[in-house]
Amino acid sequence: MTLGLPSHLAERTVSRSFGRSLNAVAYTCLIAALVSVAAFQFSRTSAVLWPAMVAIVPMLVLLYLSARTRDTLYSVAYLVVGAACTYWFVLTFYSQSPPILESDALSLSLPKIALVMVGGSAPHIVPRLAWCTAGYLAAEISAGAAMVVAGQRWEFYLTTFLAYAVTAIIFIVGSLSRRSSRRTQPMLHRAARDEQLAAMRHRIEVKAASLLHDTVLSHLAAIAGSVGDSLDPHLRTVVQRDLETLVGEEWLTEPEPVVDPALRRRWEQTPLFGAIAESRLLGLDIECTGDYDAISGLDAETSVSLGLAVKQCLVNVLRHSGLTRAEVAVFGSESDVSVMVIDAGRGFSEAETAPDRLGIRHSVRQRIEEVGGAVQIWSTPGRGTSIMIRVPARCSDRSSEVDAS
Amino acid sequence: MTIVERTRQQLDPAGTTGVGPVAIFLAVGAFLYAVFMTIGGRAEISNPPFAILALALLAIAGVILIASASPNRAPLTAASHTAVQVTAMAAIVCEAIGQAGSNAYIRDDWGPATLGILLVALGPYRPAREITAGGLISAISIGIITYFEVPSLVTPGPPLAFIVLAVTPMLALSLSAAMFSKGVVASIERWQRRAQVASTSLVREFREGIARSVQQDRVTILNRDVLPFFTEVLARDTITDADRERARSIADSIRSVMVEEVDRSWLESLMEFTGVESTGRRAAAGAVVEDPRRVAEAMSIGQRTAIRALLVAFTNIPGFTRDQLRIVLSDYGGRGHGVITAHLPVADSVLRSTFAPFLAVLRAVFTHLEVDFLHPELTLRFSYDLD
Repeated sequence: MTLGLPSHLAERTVSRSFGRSLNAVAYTCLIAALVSVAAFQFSRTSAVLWPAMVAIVPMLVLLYLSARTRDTLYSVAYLVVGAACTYWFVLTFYSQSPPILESDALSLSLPKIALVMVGGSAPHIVPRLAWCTAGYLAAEISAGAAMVVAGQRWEFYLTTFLAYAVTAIIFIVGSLSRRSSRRTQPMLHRAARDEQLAAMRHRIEVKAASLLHDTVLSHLAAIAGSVGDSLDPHLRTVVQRDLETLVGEEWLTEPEPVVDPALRRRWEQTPLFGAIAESRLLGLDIECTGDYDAISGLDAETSVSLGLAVKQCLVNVLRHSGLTRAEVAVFGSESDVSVMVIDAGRGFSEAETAPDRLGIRHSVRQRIEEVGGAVQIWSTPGRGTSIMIRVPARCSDRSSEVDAS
Repeated sequence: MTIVERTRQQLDPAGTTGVGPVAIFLAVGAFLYAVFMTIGGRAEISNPPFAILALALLAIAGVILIASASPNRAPLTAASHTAVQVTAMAAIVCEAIGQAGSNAYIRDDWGPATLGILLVALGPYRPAREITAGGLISAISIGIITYFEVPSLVTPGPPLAFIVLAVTPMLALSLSAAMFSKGVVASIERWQRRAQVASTSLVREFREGIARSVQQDRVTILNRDVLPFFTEVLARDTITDADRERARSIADSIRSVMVEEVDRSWLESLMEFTGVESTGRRAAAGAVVEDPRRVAEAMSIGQRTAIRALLVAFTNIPGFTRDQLRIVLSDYGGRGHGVITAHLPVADSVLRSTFAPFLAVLRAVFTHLEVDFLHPELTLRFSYDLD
């Protein structure tokens, strides 16, 4: 998701990353100072320049500690010790005979710039600016003192000031420019939440539509298609049961997982078995084959959806195939469970079924897709129908994804 | 959808829209610095055309940077970064040729520092690794160029010291840009992981309430016709032809409501339930959204979120009503294509400042986005994968 940081976190995050980028500049300057001193020491073996290299070491150590712990104490230590080291560094060059002065070959500003880049611990713009200013002042005062002590004239060098000024301006411009997104972020985050809730509501609506289709619509169709004056006793029982469920219970909330695993393992307890039994009551002759254990391993929601989908397939066989015989075959593998409903009847073409027919589209296909499964239909008019319903087994990707998130 | 690169601009498009001024400031600042240094060191110039060409190349690099950092052209690609870096390196080479044999001082050479400044401006837009790699390659090139300049330098000193001095500003600035990029990206990713966990638990929390409300809606529909009918039939225990007729008509009406509900896309639901005028909801959603091939469903959650946020932002404009909005979705060439047209009663400048972050997010989630604003009509064209 490309939502980005909420505004209350953005300032802190960007400021902290500024801190790291300052640390990178400081490290580079200190290491460049070390290499530079080494180059001079090797080219002028008579000069005593190694003390300047020693002066850089405490700065590197304190920079590391201050960057790592983001502790104010270490930042203060970096400033104080760093100022002393800068003094020592500048003095080492200036007290040579003849003095090695800041020149085109030597930048005495390197440790000074490293001091300006202090402030790894400050979370906001104002304290960070204050740290940089303190670093700049400490650097200028210590280097100036070293010049005076070495008996040289004090000189102003532009490099350190430029580094300080550019850093400060980047802080200020960066901080001002963040304001524009402050109003947007909350709206984006709200939209993301609403989108998730809307998607969930839609899923539940589809589930509700499928349930209503299988109960109310199916009973209304049975009444509309009935012959004779009396109400079929089986239909009466089913209508009564479904009415009680629809009005009295919370039929859309998640089914509770069955507590007793021994009970769950029993094939007779599965909704698929229930669907087959009910279809047999409707007068369909069903032959069952396959691996029933695979079904009892499914989670509650998948199991219920599978049962309802198979029920719809069997009802379709009864209504449309012109036969009263069907076969249900169950296959289980580690990753998924497949149930195939086969009849040798009239067959149909899914594309040609009326668009307002919810049967295959919603009660079977959409319902199975809701639980992460897939439906394949092979049917040719005149040559029977096979519907393959595949759902993920309990330890599938889908459930592990939910756990992981 | 393109693969999201680990850059601040792509992970936080809305938050990066405001960084544009920083890039402008740095590019202009780098150019002014170069002009100032060229004038100050004009005595060292042996080939004036190259010195001028160097400045021109730096200006081009700056213009490429400012143009590609604009939120309207997001995201800034590796190709743009390469263009900026190669042009700025060419400026460094021209600057060296311009002073060939007569370069007296390294410290008044503006090349390395300006390249470093341009790389700092790229920090929010490119991954840390890419910036580091670019910085290192340039550092080696600058080192080699400086080595050949050492004989003409007037200050005595070891060659390595000159090379270090020439390379340090560019290297320090490019590493600092890389650290910035790395730090921000890491924070955003950390936050996204936490937000994912939080939103999953939020959805769980809301689930039951939503399920109850959906069920209540259904029970209301059932209470109106179905329950009285079933109760009556059950009580009588007989079925008449009138009952059959009534069963058929109730079934038809329920089926049509259900088909409409199930087929309604998230976009149509959004138009019905957002805070926009609420009379004649369904018809209005149909009038606003035209999606005959049902391709709205193929958008990813990120794409839906970006569009939802934009449409909600439209409704916050005083005087805006849904009649001023039209959304057409279609598919051709195996991709989904969308056109959103809105009459917005706002000035051009307000539109740009208010909607830039939303457009930046849209640009990040859709491979292709075109924005036209011909007052008062804003037109957005975008496309997306259908799988």
